[in-house]
Amino acid sequence: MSIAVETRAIERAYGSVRALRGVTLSVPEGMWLGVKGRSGSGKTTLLNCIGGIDRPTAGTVACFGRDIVGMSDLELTRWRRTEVGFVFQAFALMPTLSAYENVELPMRIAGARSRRGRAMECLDLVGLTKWADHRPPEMSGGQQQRVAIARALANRPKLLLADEPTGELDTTTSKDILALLRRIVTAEGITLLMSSHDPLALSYVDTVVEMRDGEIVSGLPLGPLTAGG
Amino acid sequence: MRLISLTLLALRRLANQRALTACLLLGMTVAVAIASAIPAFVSSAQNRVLRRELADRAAGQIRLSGLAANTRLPLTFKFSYLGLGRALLSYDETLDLDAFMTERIAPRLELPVVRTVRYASTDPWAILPANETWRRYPLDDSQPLGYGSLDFITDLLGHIDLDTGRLPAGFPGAPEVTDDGEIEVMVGRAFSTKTGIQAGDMISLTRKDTVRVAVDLKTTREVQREYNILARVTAIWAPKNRNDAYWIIRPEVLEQDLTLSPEMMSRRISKIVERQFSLMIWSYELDDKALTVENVAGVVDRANALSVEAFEKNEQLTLNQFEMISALRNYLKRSQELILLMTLFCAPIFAVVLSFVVLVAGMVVRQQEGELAILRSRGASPLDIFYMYAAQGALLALIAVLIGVPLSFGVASLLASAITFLQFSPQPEWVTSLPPVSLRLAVAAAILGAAATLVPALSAARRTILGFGAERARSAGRPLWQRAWLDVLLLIPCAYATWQLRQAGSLVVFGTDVSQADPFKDPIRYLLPILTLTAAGLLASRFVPRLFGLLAALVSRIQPLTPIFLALRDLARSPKDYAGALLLLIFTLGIAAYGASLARTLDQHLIDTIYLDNGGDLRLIEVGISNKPDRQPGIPGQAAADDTEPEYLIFEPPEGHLEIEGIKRYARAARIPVRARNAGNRRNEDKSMLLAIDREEFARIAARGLRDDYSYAPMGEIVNRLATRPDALLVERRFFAENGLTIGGKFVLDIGDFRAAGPVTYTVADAFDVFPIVAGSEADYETGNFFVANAAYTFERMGKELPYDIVAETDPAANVEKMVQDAQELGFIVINAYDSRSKILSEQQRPERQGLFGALTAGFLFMTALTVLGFAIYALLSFRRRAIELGVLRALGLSEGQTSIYVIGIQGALTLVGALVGTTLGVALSYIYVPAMQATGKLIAPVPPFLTRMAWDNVALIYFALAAALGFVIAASLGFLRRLRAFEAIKLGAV
Repeated sequence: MSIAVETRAIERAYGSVRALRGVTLSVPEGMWLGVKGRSGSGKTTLLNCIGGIDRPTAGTVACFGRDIVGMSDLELTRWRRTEVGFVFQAFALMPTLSAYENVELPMRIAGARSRRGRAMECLDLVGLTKWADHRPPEMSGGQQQRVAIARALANRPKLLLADEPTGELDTTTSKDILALLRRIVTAEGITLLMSSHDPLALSYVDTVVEMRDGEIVSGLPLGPLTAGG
Repeated sequence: MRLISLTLLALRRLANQRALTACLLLGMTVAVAIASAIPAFVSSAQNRVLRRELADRAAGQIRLSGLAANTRLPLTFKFSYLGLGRALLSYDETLDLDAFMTERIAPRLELPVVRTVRYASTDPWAILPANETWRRYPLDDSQPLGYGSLDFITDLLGHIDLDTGRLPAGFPGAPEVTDDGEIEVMVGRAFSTKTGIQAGDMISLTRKDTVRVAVDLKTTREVQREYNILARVTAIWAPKNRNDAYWIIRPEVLEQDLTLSPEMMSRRISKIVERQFSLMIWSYELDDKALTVENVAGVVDRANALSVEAFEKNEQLTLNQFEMISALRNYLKRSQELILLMTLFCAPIFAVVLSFVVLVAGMVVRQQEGELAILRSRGASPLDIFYMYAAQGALLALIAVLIGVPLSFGVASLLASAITFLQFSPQPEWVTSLPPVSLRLAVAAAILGAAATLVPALSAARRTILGFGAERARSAGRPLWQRAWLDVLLLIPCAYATWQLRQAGSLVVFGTDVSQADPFKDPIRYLLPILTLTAAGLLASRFVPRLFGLLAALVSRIQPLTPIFLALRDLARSPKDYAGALLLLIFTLGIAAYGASLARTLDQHLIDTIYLDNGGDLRLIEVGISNKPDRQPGIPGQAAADDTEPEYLIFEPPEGHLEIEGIKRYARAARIPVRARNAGNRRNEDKSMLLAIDREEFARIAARGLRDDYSYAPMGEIVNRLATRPDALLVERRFFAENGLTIGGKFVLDIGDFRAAGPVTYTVADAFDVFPIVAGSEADYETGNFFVANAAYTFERMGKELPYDIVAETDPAANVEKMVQDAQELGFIVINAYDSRSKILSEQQRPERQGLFGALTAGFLFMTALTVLGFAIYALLSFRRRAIELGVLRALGLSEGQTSIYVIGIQGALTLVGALVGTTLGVALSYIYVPAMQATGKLIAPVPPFLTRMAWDNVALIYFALAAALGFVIAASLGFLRRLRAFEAIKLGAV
C-alpha cells in the first residue's frame, strides 16, 4: 500500500511560538486519520502544512510521493487545485454563490471544462441536489458543511483535509456528516486527515493520533497503517 | 454605574478599532470643516462685494470731485438743510435742528461715529471794500469785490493754517465776542488772492432780501430790505490738506466765504439779520471697519428711517448721501444674487458631504455588525448598543468640531482665493472670522455624522448572532430604496419639475427681480438638478448589478478571466455591500461634471457676451469731421437756412488703422438707425438698426464672437451671404418670419442718416438670430429690428460715408491706451474704445464672479476629495471584510496573481462603472439644466443664450484622482494580500 502523506520532523514556528515540534507521520492511501488534541496543540497547523496552505519552518512533507515543501507558491497553488480538498470548521463557503456555484468554484479555478455534471454529482453525494440554487446563509450548518464537503470533493482530490468539520454542529448533524465522510472515504478511496477533539468524531476514523504542544504524543504509528482499520 | 461601564466600553472599542475610528473621525472632520467653511467663504465673498461697492463709490466721487486718486473717502452720512426761497433759518432754529440731529439721529446710526462736522452758511453777501480800504480800490466802490456767504464749520482750526493775521473773535485763543466790538471774519487764501483783501482790512457786506409784510389784516405785500454789515478781516487761511476727509465742502468753496465763529454768528449777525441760514450740513463719519456684511441691511434701513424722520422734523432736511446709500443698496441687491447663486452651487456640496458622512458611518457600522451581534447575544440590549454608539458619536463629534472648525479657516481661505475655476490667486485671501452660521453648520454636520452611525447601529443591534447570519443571507438582496421604489418615486416629481422648467426657460422666470428670488421659498426649483441626479443615480444604481451580472455571464466561459468573472459575479450578487460607494461615485462625478461644465459655460459665456457686444478684440468709436467746421463733429444739427451745401463728414482713410502697432486687421462697422419701409409687422422702429460692415474682414475679426447657434446655419456661412451680391441684406429670423420675407426679395430701408435720410433698396440674402454689435447682450433685443448689410454698398447708395466704428483684431500684448493715442496721432477722432480683453479681465475680477467660481471650485475639489477619500475608505474596509473570502479562494487554488486580479477587478469595475454612470448623468444634467441657469441675475447676460460646454479636461482630473486613489487602494490591497495567510484568514471565522 502506497503512502499518501509522509511528514518528516516538521516544525512550524510563529515567532517564538513553536506550533509544531518535529512531527513525523506517515499515512497510507485510503486511510481516515483522526488527529486529536486540545486547542493550541498544533492539529490545525499540521493539516495546514500538509495541505500546502502553510509552510513548515523545517522538515519535509510529501504527499503521494511529491515533496510539497520545496514547491514554489505557484506550484503549490496548482497542486492544491487538484490534489487536495479542504473542509473547514466554519464551512468557509462563498456567501454570494449558490451551493452549486460553491461546488463548481474549485473546478472553475482549476480550469475544468465540464463542471456541471461533476458539481451535481458531488451535491447528490452529499444529498443536497434540491438545495443547489440556495445560498449558504439560507442553509443550516449541517447543510453548509455538506456543501463544503461537496466542494472539497469536486476536483476529485486524493487527499481530504478536514479541520474540526463538526465543531459547529450539533450531535445529530455531526453524525450525519461523519457518516457521509465515512461513505466517501470508503467509496472514493480518498485519504482523509481530520482534526477534532470530539470523541464522537474520532469514533468514525480508522486511527487516531494525539497531539500535545506540537508533538504527537500517542497512537503514533511510524510505519504504514492499514486503511479501513 | 451601568452607563459609566458602557461609556468605558465604548471608549475601549474606539481605542481598539483605531483604523475604523480614524476613518470615521476623518470623515466627520472633513464634513465639519467643509460645512463650516462654506458660509465663511460666502461671507468673505459678500464682504469683498461690499468693499468693492464702497471702493467704486469712492472712485466715482473722486472722479467727480477731481480729488487725488489716493484719497480715502470715508463712510459718511450727510444731512443737509437747504433753505430755498424764504425758508431761511434763524440762528435759534439752527440750534434746534442741531439738537435734533445730535441727540436723536447720530446715536441711531449704531456704527461708531468717528467724526462729526457741522457747517452752516448764509446766502451770499456782496462784498465791498469799506472806507478804510478805499485807497486800494479807487475805481468804483459800487462794484462788489465778490460774493461770499458768512459761514462757520466745526473743528476748523485743526485743518487750516493762518497765512497772516489772527483768528476772529470767538475762536479759541482769540478775543471774546462783545456786543459792541467789530465783527470779525477770516477769508481763504484763494479769495484774498482774487480780491486783494488782506488781514486787517475792513469790508462792507451788503445783501438785499425780498420779504412779505402785512399791509392790513387781509393783505400782504413784498418789500425790499437791505442789510449792511461792516466787518474786519482778521486772518487769511489756507487748508492744511485739501484731500482730508474732513472737508465736507470742498475747501476751494469755503475759501470763497467769510468764516466766523458761531458765537459771532449768534451774538452779532443774528441781531442784524434774523433769518439768514440757507444751508446747513451735518456730516457723520462712521467707522467703515465696523460695517460688515451682517449689519449693512440694518444701516440702510436706519438710513431710510432717519431720512423719513428728518423730513418729518423739517421738510428741507434731507439725507443727501445718495451715493453711499445707493452703493449699500446695490450691495444688498448683489449680495442677494450672490446668496442665490451660492445656494444654487453650494447645495450639491452639502449633499455630497451628507452622503459621504452617511456612507462612511454605514461602512464603519457594517464592519462592526458581527461584533454587535455578539454583544447582543451576550446580553446587551438595543438601548445599550444605542447608548454606546451615542457616546462614541458624541466623542467623535466633539473631536471633529475641535479639529474641523479651525481647519475651516484654511479651507475657506483657499476658496476665497479662487480667481476663476480651479485657479487661485498667488496672494491668498485669508478668512479670519467665521459667521455664526458656520459654527451652527459645523455642529450640525458633527451631529449628523454621529447620528449617521446610530441608525445602522440600531438596526444591527436588533439582531443576535443567529439573526446576523440570517441577515447576511439577505445582504445579497436589494437595498431598501430599491425595494420601496423610492428612486422611481423621486424621479417622477423631478421629471415634472424639469418639464415645467423647460417650459419656463430658466430657473428664475424672466421679468422677475432676481434680487427678490428666495431659494428657500421654492427649494425644489433650485435643487432640481441635484434632486434629479439623486433620483437618476439611484435608478441607475438599480441596474448596475445587472450590468455586472451581464458582464460576468459574458466572461464566464473564458478560463483566463476566471478572477474577473468571480469579481463581476461578486459585484452582481452583493449590491448592498457597495451601494454607498457606488452612489458616492455617481453623485460626485455627476455633480462635478455638471459643476465644471457650468463653470466652463459661464466662462465662455462671458467671452461670448463681450465679443458679441464689441464684435472683435477692440472696437473704436470714431467720428469724422464735419465739412461745416462750426458744428460739433458727428452731432446732428439743423442746417442753416442759407446753407445750400449739404453737410457731410470727412473721415481719415481707414487703412491708416493698420499703421497702429498692435492692430492686425480692421473692419468698418457702421451702426445706422433705420426704418423698414415695406414691412407690415414692425416693432419699435426707434430702436431698429442697420449694421453696415466690411464683410470679409469683419467675418475674420468677429470669428471668435460668431457662434454657430446664432442662426439656423453656421454664422460664417450666413455672413458670407453678403458676398453673393453688393445689396445683400441679412435680417433677423423672427422679423423674416413675421413679415413673410423671402430670400432674394427686395427690401427697402429708410436710412436715418447724419443730417439727412434716404431709402436704400436691399435684397434679402439670409437671416440670423443674434449678431455682434447690433444684437448683443446690451441691445434691446425684445423690441428692435436689426439688419446687416455691406458698408460699401450702403455708403455708395447714400453718396457718402456715414459714421462708423472700427472693429479690430489686435495683438493680445498690445496696449489699448497706446493704440488709441496712436490713432489720435494719425488723425482719427476716437471718442471711446472698448477693449474686449480688459473687459473680460475686469469682469473676471468681480467679487461675485470670483465668489461664484470659488463655490464651483469648492464643489469640485470637495467632491473629488471626498469621493477619493470615501472610496479609499470603502475599498480598504471592503478588503478587510473580504480577507476570509480571499483566504478561501487561495486555499481553493487561486494563485496570488489571480487573487490580485480578483481584488483589482472588484475595485476597478466598481470605480469604472460608477465614474461612467456619474459622468453620463453629469453630461445629461449639464445639457438639461445649465441653459436654465442663465437668468439668475445681472451677473449673467440673457443674450447670447447659454451654450453648454463640457469641461472634459476637468472631468479628466477627477478620473486621474480616482485612478490615483484606485492605484493606492490596489497597492495597499496587494500589500495586504502578500501578507495574507490563507489559513489565518480562514481561521478568523465564517465568510
